Amino acid sequence: MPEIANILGVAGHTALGVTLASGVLCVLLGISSKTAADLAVTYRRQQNLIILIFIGLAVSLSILVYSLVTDQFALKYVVEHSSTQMQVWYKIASLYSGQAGSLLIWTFAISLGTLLLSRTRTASFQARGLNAITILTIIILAFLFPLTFLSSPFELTSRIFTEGIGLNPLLVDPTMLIHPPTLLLGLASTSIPFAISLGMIVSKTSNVEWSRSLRRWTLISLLILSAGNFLGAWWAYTVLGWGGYWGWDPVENCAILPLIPLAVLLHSKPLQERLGLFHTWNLMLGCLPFVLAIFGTFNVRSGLITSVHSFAESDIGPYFLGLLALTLLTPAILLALGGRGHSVMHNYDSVLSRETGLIINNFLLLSIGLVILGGTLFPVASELANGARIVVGPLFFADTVGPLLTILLIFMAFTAPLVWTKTLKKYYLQQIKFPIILALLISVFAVILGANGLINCLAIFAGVFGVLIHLFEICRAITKDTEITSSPYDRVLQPFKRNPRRYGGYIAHIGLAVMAIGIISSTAYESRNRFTVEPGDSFALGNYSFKYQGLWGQKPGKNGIEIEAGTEVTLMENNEIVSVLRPGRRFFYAAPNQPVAIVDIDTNLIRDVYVFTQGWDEKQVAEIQILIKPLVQWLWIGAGLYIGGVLVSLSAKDNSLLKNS
Amino acid sequence: MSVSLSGTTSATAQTPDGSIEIQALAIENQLRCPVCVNEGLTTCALALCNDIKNSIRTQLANGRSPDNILLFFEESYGTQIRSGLAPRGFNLWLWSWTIASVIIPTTAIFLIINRLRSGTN
Repeated sequence: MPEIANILGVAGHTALGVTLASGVLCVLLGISSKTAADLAVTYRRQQNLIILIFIGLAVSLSILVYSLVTDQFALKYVVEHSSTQMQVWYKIASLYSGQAGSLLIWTFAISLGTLLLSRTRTASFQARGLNAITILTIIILAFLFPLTFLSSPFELTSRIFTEGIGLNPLLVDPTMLIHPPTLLLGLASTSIPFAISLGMIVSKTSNVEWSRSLRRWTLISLLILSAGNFLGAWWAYTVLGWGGYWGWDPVENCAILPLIPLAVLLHSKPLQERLGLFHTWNLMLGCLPFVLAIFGTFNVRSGLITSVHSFAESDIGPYFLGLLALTLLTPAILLALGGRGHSVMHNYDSVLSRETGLIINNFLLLSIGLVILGGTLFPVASELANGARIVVGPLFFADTVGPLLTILLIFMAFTAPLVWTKTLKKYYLQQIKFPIILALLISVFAVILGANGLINCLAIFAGVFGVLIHLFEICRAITKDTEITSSPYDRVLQPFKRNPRRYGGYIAHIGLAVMAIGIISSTAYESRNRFTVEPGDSFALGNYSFKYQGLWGQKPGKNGIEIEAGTEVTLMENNEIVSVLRPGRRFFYAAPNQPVAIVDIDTNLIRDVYVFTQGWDEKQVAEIQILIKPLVQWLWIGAGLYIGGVLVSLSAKDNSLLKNS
Repeated sequence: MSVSLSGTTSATAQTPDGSIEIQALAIENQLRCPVCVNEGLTTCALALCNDIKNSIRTQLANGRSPDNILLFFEESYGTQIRSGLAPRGFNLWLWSWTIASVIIPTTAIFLIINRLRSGTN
């Protein structure tokens, strides 16, 4: 009913207005505090205002969700992104299918992080935490401004609608219920390390509490953003129908770019602690992920680098360009004006040390980040220079980033057994002897099985060596532990309990190595073919035979889907039926010329048989594409290990979020 | 349940030669849709892309080499149709950036380690 929608619209605008006013007050309090006595009082007041900001945004979000779920078509946002035919969870997913809804989630996520940060109660943090909270509130205001004045989700329609346009067909998939919000949360979470780093620059000082806070929020951001990217890769693999999981699409690149400085910062902080190195560099690294997150948002909102993801383009681009400039220049100028802390140099005893390993790996990561950034921005540069946009395709990134990642993996493995300060050569050679021999043997075996190409073989070696060396390190820690434990299970867990940072890191590294094995195997050694067949025809690829049975179809009657139809294909191995696969297409009422692929996959740990239907005609003659992708499931298993490892690392006692003084 | 629908490609009743099909797919992997942004030829369902795919198979069946076929489409649609980025013309700027992105950090590694070692000595 329009009356209810009017009330909801007014309520939503009011909630945003109250949030905006609270934010302005919070910032004014922060910048007006002068004396130490003021600080404690101001900090308490800011904590209360942050709660108000969080509640205001939670209310706004709830109003929008309620409007979507109850089909309030008097609201423009509901008309443009939802419809009565959608199931309730897809109606909720409409929340982030449009610009205003995405911005609201961004702002809400930042307010949640700010609230959690503001609950840190240590006295030393409070004295300096003022800066971080004030900075975060400024960021919240920067997102609230376009939400309130430029692109409000509570704008009313000019006429009465009884139905909405519905969700973008590509978003009607279960993975889309978690991938976009996870990614948005991850991108928004980069604001916390930004605020802490900028706070340290502004206050020209640092302490252990701040350092720990920066590390744990960097880990949290890395965790959520990595998960968001993995989910996106999974969606691409299971929905888009091309058999791949990463297309080096410009918006995909923008989602992965903030991960690079996050990872570098995690591995650079120990160098600062041990050698007194990179203090200024680490402060910039703390700011960079958020700058890159804003850059990515600017890309999508402005359509600067168009891609298949850019369905949320609008004229809000220039605003975000200004925000990007501000977030990039503010820390840079402040650092240049002398916002640096005091460094104490320690002795660097040996090249064969963990310190050397971290320096090498960090700069390799930096190389990879710069190459990805260059490839992402090149279309813009070419258009500005020549008037013609040159699109950079996936082959460029495969040819450049692929070898660099292989080198990084190799160094990651070789530097794993290094200890701090100085590693004895004899000890080091002893540590790597068995893993490297075993890795070489396995790589030779892979070559015998058909692995070819120098980079491919190196990548296989790097992945296997990476897994083995870290496993050996963990086993060594388990067997060296002399503490009496009640069970073998407890004994295995002891290293992770004693030093979760280190051994959680090892698990994450194992995850990366396993992912590398999955990626190389499934791309370099994939078999594919396309067949044009009539019902009853048999065809074969590799060790598998297929039989096309005919077409199928159904009318789901939900989510705006007109019809789902496709081919039925029996998969056989050694004349035994393995499974029946039903790939096809999903046709939507709102977008009849934009059918979405229905991919079917027969999966096990050795290979995926990936089947996709290109099309068919009235005589049921169909064009079917088959891909056999070896070891691809290990990509997802590796991703799970990586996430698990980061979680273990996050569980370290000095990472507790709430700590009383 | 049987469905009668016009598909996105005009399929023929005969399965093409296996080796030609494999070569054709390999060529498709190196080409992009000339209309869509960053969409591979293999996955694009536009009529234009289907025509290009059929043309690839016809040219292969007529004995043309994969390199000549790629060159043919490059001349017809411009270098944009290639998935890769040939190191020539304005593209050299990106390749130079890439090389610099490797050389500069590598140099930094050596300089930092040397500085640390000389500081210790």
